[in-house]
Amino acid sequence: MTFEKLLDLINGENVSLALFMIGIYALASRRNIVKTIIALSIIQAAIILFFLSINNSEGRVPPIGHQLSVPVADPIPQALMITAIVVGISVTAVSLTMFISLYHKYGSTNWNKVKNKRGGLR
Amino acid sequence: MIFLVLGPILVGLFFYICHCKFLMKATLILEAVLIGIALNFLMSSAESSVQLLSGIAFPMGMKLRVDTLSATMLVLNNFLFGFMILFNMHKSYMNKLFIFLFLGLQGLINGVFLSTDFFNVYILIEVATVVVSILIMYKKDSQSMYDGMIYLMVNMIAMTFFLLGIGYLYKYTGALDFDNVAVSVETITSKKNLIMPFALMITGISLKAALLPLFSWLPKAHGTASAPSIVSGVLSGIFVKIGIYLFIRVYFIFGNIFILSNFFVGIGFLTAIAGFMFALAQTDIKLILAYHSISQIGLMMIGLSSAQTASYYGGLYHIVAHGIFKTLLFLIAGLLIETYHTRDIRKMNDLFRRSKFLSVILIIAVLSITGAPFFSGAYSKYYIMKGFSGIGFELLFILINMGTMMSFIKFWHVLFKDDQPFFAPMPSPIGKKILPYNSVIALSLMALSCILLGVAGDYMFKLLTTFDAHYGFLSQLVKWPKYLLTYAGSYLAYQAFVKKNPFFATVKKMELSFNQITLAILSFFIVTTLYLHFITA
Repeated sequence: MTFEKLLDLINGENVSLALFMIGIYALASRRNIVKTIIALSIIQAAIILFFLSINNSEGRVPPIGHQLSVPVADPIPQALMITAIVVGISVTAVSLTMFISLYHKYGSTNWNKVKNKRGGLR
Repeated sequence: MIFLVLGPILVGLFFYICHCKFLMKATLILEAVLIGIALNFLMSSAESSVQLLSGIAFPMGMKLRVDTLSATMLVLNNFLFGFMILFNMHKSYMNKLFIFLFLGLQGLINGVFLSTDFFNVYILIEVATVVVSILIMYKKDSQSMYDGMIYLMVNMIAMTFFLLGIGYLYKYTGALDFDNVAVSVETITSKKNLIMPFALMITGISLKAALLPLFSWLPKAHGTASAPSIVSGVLSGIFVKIGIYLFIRVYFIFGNIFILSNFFVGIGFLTAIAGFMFALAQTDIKLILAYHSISQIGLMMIGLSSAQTASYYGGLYHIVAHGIFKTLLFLIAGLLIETYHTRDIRKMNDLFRRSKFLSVILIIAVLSITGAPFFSGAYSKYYIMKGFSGIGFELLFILINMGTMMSFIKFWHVLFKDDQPFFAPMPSPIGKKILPYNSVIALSLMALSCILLGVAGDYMFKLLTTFDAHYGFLSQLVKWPKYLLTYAGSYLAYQAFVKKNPFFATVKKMELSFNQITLAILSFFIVTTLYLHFITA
């Protein structure tokens, strides 16, 4: 396997899957609530990259103008991702707000400590 | 059609902005109109009706569509929300913010059932999740902060899986709406390509529907101490059904490609059994009901993923039946908590002498959920069981039924157990303050519909699911001895095995932390993927 072939592996799709897995790893292994929120943002970025890079190849042009002779890039994923970015940002904002009031209540950023302070399901 | 989505949100926003005295009455009128629209869809004979959202014809534009399945879900949704608002008209926390969030949630859920496009469904569910997590921590006491936070985080993870699945689906099929995806999925030659999108989407949906390894968020969210009982009722009654609804949609698209009936029937049985095991261990009235929802969801999954038509429609009918009686139970639980000032079911007693009305409603709800003939639960359970034959399945169903009955024995204790000495003064009856007239109306109408769904089952079944059902009056009547016998058996089993069993004390303490929930999601995804690889090989 040559070096060029290795470089070809670094395309949008593979990078986004790697980012997705990094995010899942962070969610499964970190106990810090702030890091959980950051990990969710990483996953959202990964998904945005994934959507933008599917169905895309070299030499495509933006779908602008009347006389398009070369194949154009697929505009639908881009339109969808604008919405996903907006939703992602608002979700991050809501979870950070919730985290602030949770921190005021419990005084900890650790999931397990917070769970213990809540005192189980009674 | 678009009014179903925008109507509640706009009215809620309007009342949030300007202070109106006639707020509650106008909301009630709105609810009546919405129920009317939804019923109209159900009654109309057309197979499906479509509304285009932009002027462009379909492959380019967007559309809303009502077919039989979504009409049923719409009726259930608007029916429940309407009665919740009627029930809670005079509560102090029903201020403008609460009404706005609650009505907004109703509009969003209507939108999920109306839209025909995976991405729209994703957006609507995402927003609805945020609204629900705010409603869960509405009273802002210390327990509910954790509940709301973990609910939001876990559901966001599930939705990212779902979104990545949509991405893969778009990559391989080039379409996003249900119909086009279904068409192009058939033409794809390499089945292996479809494993990834299906596994990702089904992981997200299974968490939404609270299947076996992924249900640990549900009791926290539905049984949380601080959420008003109408929020708990709506969550258990309709919100968790969104997962089931999506499961039906996705399962129909991929059903011809992957034969997964056995897999999901197995998961359904495990979920049902695990649900009542946890329910037996609890003493908190809301948590019993919350864990019990999991058990019933298992039953629905058994019915819906079965290959038999009768079982499938039984599962569909069980969604409606469960939605109504579980909401009713949550409302009663809220009233009981208010009356006794405790959430511990062992400290509630002698309800029958305190309030005859509430007892009758509670008896109707409990009979429905345990599957007594003439009530809604029995009808749907009968049809779910119809598709399965063989002694093994028979025994499993009896086990699940007995589990349900055992976990509701505690409710009979609430009704009739009398701890006081005989000459104690008559306990004070439940006053007008806790049970005003509007709550009485809402409760009795819901209890009435429980009975109606059972006694007039043949007609309602046809109306809701378009399936011709025959489970007549007489054949229901002869089921009574079997029901009573099973109940007696489960009472004995309860006394023998469950009471004071140390096993259940350990079950009660079991609770997954956030990291463990993430690992459970990941392992569910991996197992599903491996299983799909195994069966397509």
